[in-house]
Amino acid sequence: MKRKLLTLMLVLVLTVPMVLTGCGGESQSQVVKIAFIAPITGPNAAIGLGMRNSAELAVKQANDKGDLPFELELVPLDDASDPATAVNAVNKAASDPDVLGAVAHFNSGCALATKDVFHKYGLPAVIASAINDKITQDGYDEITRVISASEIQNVYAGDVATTKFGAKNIAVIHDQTDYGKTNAEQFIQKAQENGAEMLSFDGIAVGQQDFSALLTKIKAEDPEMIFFGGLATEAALIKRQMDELKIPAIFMSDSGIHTKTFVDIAGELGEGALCHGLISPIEDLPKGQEYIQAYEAAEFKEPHEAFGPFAYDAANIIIEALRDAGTPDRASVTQAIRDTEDFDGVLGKTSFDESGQTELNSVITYVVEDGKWIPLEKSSFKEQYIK
Amino acid sequence: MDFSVVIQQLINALTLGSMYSLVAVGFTLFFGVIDLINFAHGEIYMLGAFVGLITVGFFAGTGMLASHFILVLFIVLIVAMVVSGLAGAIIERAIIRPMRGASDLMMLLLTLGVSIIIREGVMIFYPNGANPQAFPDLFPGGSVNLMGIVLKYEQMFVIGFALLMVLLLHVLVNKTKYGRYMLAISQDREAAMMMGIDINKIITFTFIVGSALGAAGGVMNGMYYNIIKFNMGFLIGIKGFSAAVVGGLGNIYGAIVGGFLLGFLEMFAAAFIPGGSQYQDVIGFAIVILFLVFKPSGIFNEKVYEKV
Amino acid sequence: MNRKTKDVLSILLIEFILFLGLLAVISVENYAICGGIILFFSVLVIYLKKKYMGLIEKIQAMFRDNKRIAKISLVCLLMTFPFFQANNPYWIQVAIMVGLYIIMALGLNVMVGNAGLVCLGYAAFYAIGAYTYGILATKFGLSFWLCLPLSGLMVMIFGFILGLPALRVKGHYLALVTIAFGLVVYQLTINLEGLTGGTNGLMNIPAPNIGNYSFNMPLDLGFTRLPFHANFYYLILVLVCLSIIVATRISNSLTGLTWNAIREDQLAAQCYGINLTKNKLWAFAFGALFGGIAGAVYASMVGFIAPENFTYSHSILILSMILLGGIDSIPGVIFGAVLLTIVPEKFRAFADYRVMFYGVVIVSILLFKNDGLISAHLRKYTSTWNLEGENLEKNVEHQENEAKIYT
Repeated sequence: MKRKLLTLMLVLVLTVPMVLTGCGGESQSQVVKIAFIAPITGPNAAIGLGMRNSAELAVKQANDKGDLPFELELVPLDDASDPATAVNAVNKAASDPDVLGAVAHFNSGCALATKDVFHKYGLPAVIASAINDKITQDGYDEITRVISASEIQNVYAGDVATTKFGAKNIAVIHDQTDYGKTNAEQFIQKAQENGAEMLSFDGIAVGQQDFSALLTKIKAEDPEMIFFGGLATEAALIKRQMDELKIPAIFMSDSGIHTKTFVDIAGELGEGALCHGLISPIEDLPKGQEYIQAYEAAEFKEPHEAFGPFAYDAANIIIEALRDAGTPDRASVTQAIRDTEDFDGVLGKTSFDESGQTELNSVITYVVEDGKWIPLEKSSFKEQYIK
Repeated sequence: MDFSVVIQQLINALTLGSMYSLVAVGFTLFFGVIDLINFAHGEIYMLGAFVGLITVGFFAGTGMLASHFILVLFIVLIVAMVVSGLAGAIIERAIIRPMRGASDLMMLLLTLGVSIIIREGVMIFYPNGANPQAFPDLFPGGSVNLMGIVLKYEQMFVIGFALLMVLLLHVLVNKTKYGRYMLAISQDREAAMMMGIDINKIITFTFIVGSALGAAGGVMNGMYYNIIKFNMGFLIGIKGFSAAVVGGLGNIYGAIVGGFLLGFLEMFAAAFIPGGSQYQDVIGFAIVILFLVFKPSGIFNEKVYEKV
Repeated sequence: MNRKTKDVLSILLIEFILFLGLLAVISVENYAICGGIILFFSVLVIYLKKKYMGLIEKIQAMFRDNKRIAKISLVCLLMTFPFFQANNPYWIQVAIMVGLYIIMALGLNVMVGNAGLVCLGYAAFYAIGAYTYGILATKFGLSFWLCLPLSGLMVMIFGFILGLPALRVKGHYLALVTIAFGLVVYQLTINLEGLTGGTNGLMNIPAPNIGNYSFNMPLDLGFTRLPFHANFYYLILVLVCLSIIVATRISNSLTGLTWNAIREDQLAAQCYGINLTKNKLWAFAFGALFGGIAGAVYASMVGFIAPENFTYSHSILILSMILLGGIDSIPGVIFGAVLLTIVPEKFRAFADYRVMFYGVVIVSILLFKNDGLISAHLRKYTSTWNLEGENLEKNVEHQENEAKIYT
């Protein structure tokens, strides 16, 4: 018994220092962390990785420049496009006192779920590419956004469909997600204002593969246009099956399908599909070439995809704010981000309005031609569509 | 309602039903010989589709996709079926055989575990496997257009191929030695053993056949929808199982009928029930639950015996 | 020092060391050191086992003899946990998740372990509990303390509903029905937008409060301030203790024995005059109850719930917990829940492999040790049950004492 007790004591003596060294991990050099939260795995991983690399690039450039009084570090966290995971990730980021800002979210669902968490911890977040209107409507100082809200692009889309294309009969499909459904509703509201008629309004499930039943039904309604609110995979399948069923309608959707995934899956049958991008092609923007070259020079494994520039600008806005904030704490960084005036980034000159929404607005219509998304104005579909 | 719309929906349903049938047959075969519900069978279907995609990759640069598409299609199907058949055999030998005789619950959980490993394995080890993969067109995209009804060549091929497989299976089970052994085992394993049948060999053989059919279904899925995903096996597995249950587990023809029935129900629910399109994938389960409650033995009676 | 005091001291020491080990493992970021600590503990255990014959048995006996002290001291130790993690609440949150999973695993164990009714849609109960609280709190402004029992009640009703078709089917068919149930509930949470908020989820679910004190406020103890997570941590600790007590009592009771009988052989049980309908329905309702409670607490903690929190893979996760720990073994189930929550959190860098890991766990446990890491003990009944159902607890105590004499 005595020996046993002795052994146990020994173990205790051995363990305690280990615990203490483990707990007392005080950081030695001054490090400021920026959290990055977006889908690194899951269905939107490709986009998320492009965003992560872009944010990484921004941090690297700032460190190389060396005019900050501290070392910057990017903490990439995964939200897997899943609101619950997103909340966990934000909790994790916000629990670390060194994290002073966050570049966050591709999915609106995630951003809606985490905005309260950001607010609760007072951690400033620049939303990179989640476009739901409600995200910035709470008046939280912590939440700002560098991408246009969905209403802007959907109202634009509604105008294009009715006034430019002269579509009168429109069938609407959505994927039941908040993103898809909101887009579809905002679009059809504008289109109806302009005198178009909504023939049907149907939901599909994300992950569903066979839309032939629904499309056969829609074919019988004989629409001039089918509008889809949702993301690339389902959009591509719908566009394919539309053409295979010989539905002569125009296919239009949102910025959510403005990806390479859509073109890959839809293949040849994707030609002529329309979407609304939130910026002009990056290479046409004043600072676009600079960004693309820097991205290529950094030799990332994954391409920057459509939303890389948004994350890049979001990260740079935070870095700029850290520089301006004076004392590096969350409250002053929040204020500094809010005070951003004409930040000159890839997207253009960003300033925030009182709700934290960017004042930039440059929605344009894209079309698939020869397996690439190009602005409608530059494509051969121009004459065919615009009446 | 337009007549041509109904016909169009029928054609759509037949195509979907063909794929379900190919999967359902596997469930019913396994249940027949060793009373096992193989929850990993849906993943074999997915595996078949991915093996098919890899095989297509070898022909991508050669231009054969355009010139000799029938040959390519054939090779793709054979490779996918052989590889998945082997995978089925490996699962049977390495994992299911050591556990034979364990309780239903254990077997169920075991195959469930295997299904997770296959699914996640594909996600992790296939390049960029977490994202949907585009499956190239293997078949010319043309179609027959008749009074507003569109019948794609692809659809004809899917339906035709499924029927061919059913026919082959019929011949295999009823006219060959191995098929007779399978029947014998499903009727009474002990007696079959006493008659000198090597039941281990036959069970492995059954797994190869069932898995190969499932894989063929996976390739059909890939070429028809042009998209495959690592997690597509789960839903199709549940649906295949449901189809087999509706038809009566253990009955091959029941599974085929069940598969087509499920296809029809889903299509018509999506087409003719308002708001039904968003419930398309769930309708099947509702029907299965009803079936299980009111007629647990299926349309064609399942073999049932209770040991006391 | 007499033997008793020595034993008590040893128990305290052992618990303290294990607790410190756990703290060390979670607070060390470096994988190598972390692995080192785990390795050190494993080697130590193996060494002690080799060196002193029967040491494990002795320790077990020690714990058994001083059950009450061991339990109370363990709870006291666990209560200090938030103080160690006050400046990094992340691990407090993980600890809360561990608690929630323990409650759910215990609930699923009632169905699968005790009664042998396989359920692959357990996350549905979790969802129903969470949504019941979410809806009642946001739409009707009811308080958490009222909603908690209401959620439990709601979930029990759904347990009965699932139980009804389950009465007619068993084995594989039951598995299918439960999967379908899970999917239908998931689909409903998406489609009943007015009620559940659809895929968008329910937002701004209030935290519980006592008087004016909301659980979302930091816990001010005078000498120190704990992050608000600590409130939930203590709430969960209480609920976990309650769940363990209830689950143990139930599984030791006559009902538990009846469920076991049904699990082993339904037909034989029926022949003994056991009412299958009643007992199976109760097993479902009762198992579901745990999930509902966990769901309500979860909703109140994160303040946001969406259908994605309650998918099929969550059901599988809970199932793999009870498989890993040991079906029908309450300590095993708890251990499984702890292990399968902490390990993936610890190795978040390998997030891609997480689900794969569950699959490997399930298959290897079934192939090599299908009664789990801490397998269930044989029942200790020796004779005479109180068939009236009165004084059942006393009876159990009595039987245990009796069993001790025999062992």
